[in-house]
Amino acid sequence: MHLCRFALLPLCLTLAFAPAATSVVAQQPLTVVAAVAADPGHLNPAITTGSPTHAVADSLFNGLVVLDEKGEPQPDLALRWQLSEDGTRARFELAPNAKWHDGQPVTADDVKFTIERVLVKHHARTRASLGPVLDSIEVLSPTSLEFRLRRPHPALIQQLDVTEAPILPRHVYGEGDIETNPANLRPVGSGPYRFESYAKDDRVVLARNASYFKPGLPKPDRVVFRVIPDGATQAQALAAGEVDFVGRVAPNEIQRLQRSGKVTTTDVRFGPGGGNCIMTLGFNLDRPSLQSREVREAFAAAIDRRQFVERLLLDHGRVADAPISSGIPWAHAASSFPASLFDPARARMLLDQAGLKPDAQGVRLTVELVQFASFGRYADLLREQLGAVGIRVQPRLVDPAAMVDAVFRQRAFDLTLISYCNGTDPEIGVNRMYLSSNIGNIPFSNAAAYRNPEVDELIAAAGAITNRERRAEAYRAMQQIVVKDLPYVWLVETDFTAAWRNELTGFAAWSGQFAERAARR
Amino acid sequence: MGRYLLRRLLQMPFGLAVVGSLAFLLIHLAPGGPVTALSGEYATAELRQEIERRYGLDRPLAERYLAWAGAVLSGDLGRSYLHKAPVADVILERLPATLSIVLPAAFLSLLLGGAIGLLATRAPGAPRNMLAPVLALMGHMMPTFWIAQGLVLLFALKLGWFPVQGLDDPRAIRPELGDRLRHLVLPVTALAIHQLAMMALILRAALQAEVARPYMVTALAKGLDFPRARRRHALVNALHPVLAVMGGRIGATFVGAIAVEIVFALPGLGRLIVSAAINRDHPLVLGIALAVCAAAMLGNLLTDLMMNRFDPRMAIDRDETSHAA
Repeated sequence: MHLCRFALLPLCLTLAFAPAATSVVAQQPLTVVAAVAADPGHLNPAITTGSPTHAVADSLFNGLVVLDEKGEPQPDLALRWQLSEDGTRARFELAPNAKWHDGQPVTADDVKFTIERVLVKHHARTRASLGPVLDSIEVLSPTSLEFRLRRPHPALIQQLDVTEAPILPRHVYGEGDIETNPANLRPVGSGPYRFESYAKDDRVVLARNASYFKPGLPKPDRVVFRVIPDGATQAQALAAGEVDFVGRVAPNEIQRLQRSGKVTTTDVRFGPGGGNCIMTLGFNLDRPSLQSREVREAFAAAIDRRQFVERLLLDHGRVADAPISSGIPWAHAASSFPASLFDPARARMLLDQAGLKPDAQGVRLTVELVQFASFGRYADLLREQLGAVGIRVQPRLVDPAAMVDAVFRQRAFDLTLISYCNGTDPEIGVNRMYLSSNIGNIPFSNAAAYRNPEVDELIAAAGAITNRERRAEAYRAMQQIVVKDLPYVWLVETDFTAAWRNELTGFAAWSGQFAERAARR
Repeated sequence: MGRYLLRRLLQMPFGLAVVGSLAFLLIHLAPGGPVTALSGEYATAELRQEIERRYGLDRPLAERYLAWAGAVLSGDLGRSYLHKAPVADVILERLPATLSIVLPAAFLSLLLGGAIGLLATRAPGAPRNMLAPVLALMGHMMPTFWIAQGLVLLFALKLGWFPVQGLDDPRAIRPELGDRLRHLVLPVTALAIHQLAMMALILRAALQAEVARPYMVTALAKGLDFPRARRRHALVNALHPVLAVMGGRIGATFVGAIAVEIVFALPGLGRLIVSAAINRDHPLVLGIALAVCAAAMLGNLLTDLMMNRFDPRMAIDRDETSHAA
């Protein structure tokens, strides 16, 4: 009898405390495990544009602003900002309670140091965009400062988020050569998480910043970034519950994950280090055979871009119906390059007119396509579609270093395939493709070697005004011209797909600080 | 014996010099350099020049070779461009993960592969059991990454017995031994299958030749049963070709480790080799080439010493004794 009672005791206790036990689970420390594809190397986001570093380090730092889901700037370290009428001055008020992880306050002096001495020297994108226009930064008080520009820079505010302009503490990074600063491996930031440990090629562990200046944030107690290079392994680890969040799911794993019923997926257009990307076929305009506009139009007419969306992207993207991404809606000239241009009969007619008749094997023209090996399936589809009208495509699939060397240094290619990311403003990632001043040994610049003074002028005009409607007019006019000239064929707008376990919610997949608000469902 | 060892050890630097110089030439002949990996996609021409100056990439090839060779001779493998740390440190950091799969896999394949090879050998004239050799041949033909993916699909995702990836559970505050062992099962198995199959095939082939020799007839005639004669007499003689082949496969083991480390996301040398080559991290590629080459040379030396131990016909110290006589 006694034995029986004793045996039942644990069961009774369990039942009695069952509701309490559930709430204990909810309050248990939450560790979010996020998969990243490559080792960050170091954790200083201000000296690199590399996405492996930013994927991790953006959670340790803040920008002056943070971009919301639509790419619009919202307060981060800066509570408010104001642009002068002529667009050459921008004043920022900093959050007075923001502190570095070592307890020191974040000051205007730190911002001035980071932008003038680090970002415009070591952060390639910010150096290219802000470097030429920044005159100086004036510290007005410990929590207010003013940017003074040589000319208006309409993308300024968009480019001050943690990915483009992370702010560093001067007292930690100010001495000596920043490239060899020991804090690059033991960072001190102001962000929602503080650094805990880093094992190369394995993991980075971050712990909650208990004195974060945004009340109630961040929610998870720890974030562990696991380096998992293989896309299939990332997806399998997510399905098995070993990983909670994957920022960029390999496209061929998306459907399998969705079918598993264990994860939530969402398509995002931009994320740390880029976004609003258009997979673009570039012609080498230095090649006599490709200098004829009719021949290039034949390529455009022979390519069925809807097939790329259906067969390669599995509907996680759209046909690029204009040279500027639809993710920048105010600048996007919708339907200026519609999918209905696909017309193989017209392609054959144009090639006939250009004197390119089929030989005994039906081949009119042979072109070499130089591109990343990782885009191999695009090469297959291009070869199939262009082959159908008599254009023989010989793909040369190489690694990134060899591709940059062949296309931008040696210019040894006929066609190339590049994912040009437009960013959140055309100033960031569009102009570089068309400016005649941007041809040469510069990676992912004007690959076509396209020169049109009218386009150069329109781009310059759009960059010198801050009024968005007038900028949009200039960009629309520019798109009409490049669609007519066809230095490129804009194939598809690609999305990223992020995924996380159903048990969790609140991830900001588009943002560098993706886990700030993550919580149990 | 001592003089032989000394002579072999003294030969190693020459071998390393040849391999290192060839690797230097090859990696510099590969198209493209490390600048794109270092500067990112949006770099200006000016920034690229700055980077080239900083890392001495603007110097003539001969000058860079002499500087590198001089540093290596003084024991300095240089600094990795991308990891911004001494090459030796970068390599040593990755070694534990690689060894934790390579050593158990080698042990398993020698032991299990050896047992299969031994037991699959039949007396001359006896009906042959083809099951083990056919299975071994299949194991040898399947690429390691494919085996690895198959193991994950079956034992991790379908049955849930083992984790999909990693060396331990990142949510655990302190790693436990049991957890770590559980994480090692699939990668070690994936890496071992290929070598195990090879071991079984070679040993069986060598044994099959040995058991047909006259000394086996003698052994059987004096009353030993076949399994005992096979183990006591034929095995020792059959080890010679097995050791020769397996000792020469140390480099191949690292190639297998690349696939396993990628599929199971292990922070080892195999993955480091791939990323160093893709990013054209010259000092790191060369450092790894030298390290793997030295390991292979030591492996071969060890094999030769063991062969000498097992096979008196190899008699390394014969010349020394004849001089003494």
